[in-house]
Amino acid sequence: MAELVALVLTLVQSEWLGAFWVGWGWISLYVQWITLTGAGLLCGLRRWAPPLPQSAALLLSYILLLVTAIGIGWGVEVLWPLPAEPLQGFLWRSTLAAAIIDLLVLRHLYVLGRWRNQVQAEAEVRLEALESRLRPHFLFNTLNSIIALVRVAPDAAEQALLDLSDLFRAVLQKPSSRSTLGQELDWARRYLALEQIRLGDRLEVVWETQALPADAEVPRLLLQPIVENAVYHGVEGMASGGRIEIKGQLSGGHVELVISNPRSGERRTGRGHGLGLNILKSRLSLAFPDTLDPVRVEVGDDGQFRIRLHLPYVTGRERVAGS
Amino acid sequence: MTQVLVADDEALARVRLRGLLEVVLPGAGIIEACDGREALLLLQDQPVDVVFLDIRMPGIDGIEVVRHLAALGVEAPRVIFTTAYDHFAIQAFEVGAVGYLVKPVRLEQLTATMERIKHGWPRVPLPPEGARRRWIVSRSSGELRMVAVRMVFYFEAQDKYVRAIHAQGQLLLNEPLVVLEKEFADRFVRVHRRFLVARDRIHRLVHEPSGDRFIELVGHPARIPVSRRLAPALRRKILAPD
Repeated sequence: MAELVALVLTLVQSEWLGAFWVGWGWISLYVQWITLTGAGLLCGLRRWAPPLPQSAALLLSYILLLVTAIGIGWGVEVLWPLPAEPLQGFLWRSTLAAAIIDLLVLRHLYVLGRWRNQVQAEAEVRLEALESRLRPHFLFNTLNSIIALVRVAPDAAEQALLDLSDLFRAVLQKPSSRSTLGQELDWARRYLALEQIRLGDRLEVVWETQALPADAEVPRLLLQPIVENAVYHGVEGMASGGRIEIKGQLSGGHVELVISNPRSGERRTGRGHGLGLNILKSRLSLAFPDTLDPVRVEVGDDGQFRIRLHLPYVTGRERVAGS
Repeated sequence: MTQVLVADDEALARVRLRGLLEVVLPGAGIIEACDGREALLLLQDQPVDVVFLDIRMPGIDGIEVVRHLAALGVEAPRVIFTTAYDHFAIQAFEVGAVGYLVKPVRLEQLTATMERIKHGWPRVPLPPEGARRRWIVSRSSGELRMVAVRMVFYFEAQDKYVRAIHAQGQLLLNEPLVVLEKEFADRFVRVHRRFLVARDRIHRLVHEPSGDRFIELVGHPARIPVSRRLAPALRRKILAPD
């Protein structure tokens, strides 16, 4: 890239072919000095640099590159007086050129980096779509319960099978598509109804979601994995059972949702809470790139585990109109 | 008459297995437990011939129940594990050669299993490799008390008992210290002929002017004597990092 810059600079100022080759040689030497010194400094310093936010790192790199360019420009002017003729205001022109070119290069690297992160996040979300929906443990235990119900309570068995087929329809649909909060709450309710059959009195569920807008647009299968984790990592591991609370409200144009459950305190085998949470975070920051902290996780002194969702209230129609 | 215990934390799973057992073993006495702790209580109170243990139960799980039977000195019944989906456990059984049934259980499978039991079945199944206890259980005057292994500060051997000291008090165990040392080698370290201490509860090693050495704990006032012989190794193993 540095050679291309040198070539452009030479093209702009040369008048005849001989001068072109000589000029290219000199300018290449100069540009390569600046490039190699700048790149070397950046790579060397990176090792000692504290972890910085991206914007600060970009600004610092930019300043460092400019200082390098000025330093070398000054060095050339002072120590190695070139033929005086074309070099009126050499340092100023060189610095300005470096400022513009560095800006372009950093911008290019920034866009490249963002694109790479985005591709990676999307790949992870897709992977999650394949493996995280409905644990086999849940499926086979639920089927076992339903088989037991068939004889003693046929109506309950029928209802359970209907809920199970709805859930599977949801899971098998295209993962990237969007859904509404009303739909998500419905799926979470069906899921918990099935868990209620398995766990009986041990599972208590409290819903306070009347104030939530059913038409808010959210990523598909947002809530079911959260309540599944609340059962799997919480209530199911406690001999005396526990309570899951799902509370929500609309405030300041945002949907606020809190899902809380007790923690059984035991590390259970299998996929941990941590991975599931990371996936949830990356899904939500992909869906709502402008929202700061769409997911917050709290562990209370009372041993309660809470997931707070803070999502902009957007309906499907608004999104289409807005874009 | 055959006595059968069905241990599962899901009521409907117990209903299902009971229904099948009434077909396969007409006239058998069937009792139920809703977790590992209740299963252990029932097993020491009455003779049971066959026990069906769900692997995944809150608190003491199915595999751990078997491990505790030996520690409590209860004669082990014939054990069949049940599981809905637990492929790691199934692999463990294939190595350990004990029985399991996958839920939902089919009548034919249960019949075949009971046939095999009639023709001889190991009374004490081998605990699967690496199945370490997560709980310490003690029986005192007909009561079963349990504490999580990670809550134990230290074990102290006294006469023929071992005391497990934990945040809420102590449990008396009937096991030799050597067995505990071997099973919990990753959590506990031997500091004295009579003491095993939890590694993550050690605060510091104190060297008195008199020449005696003690360990002070985090969150417990006890000072635990360190034997002269073990002190150098202990300093190297535990206390070197800080």
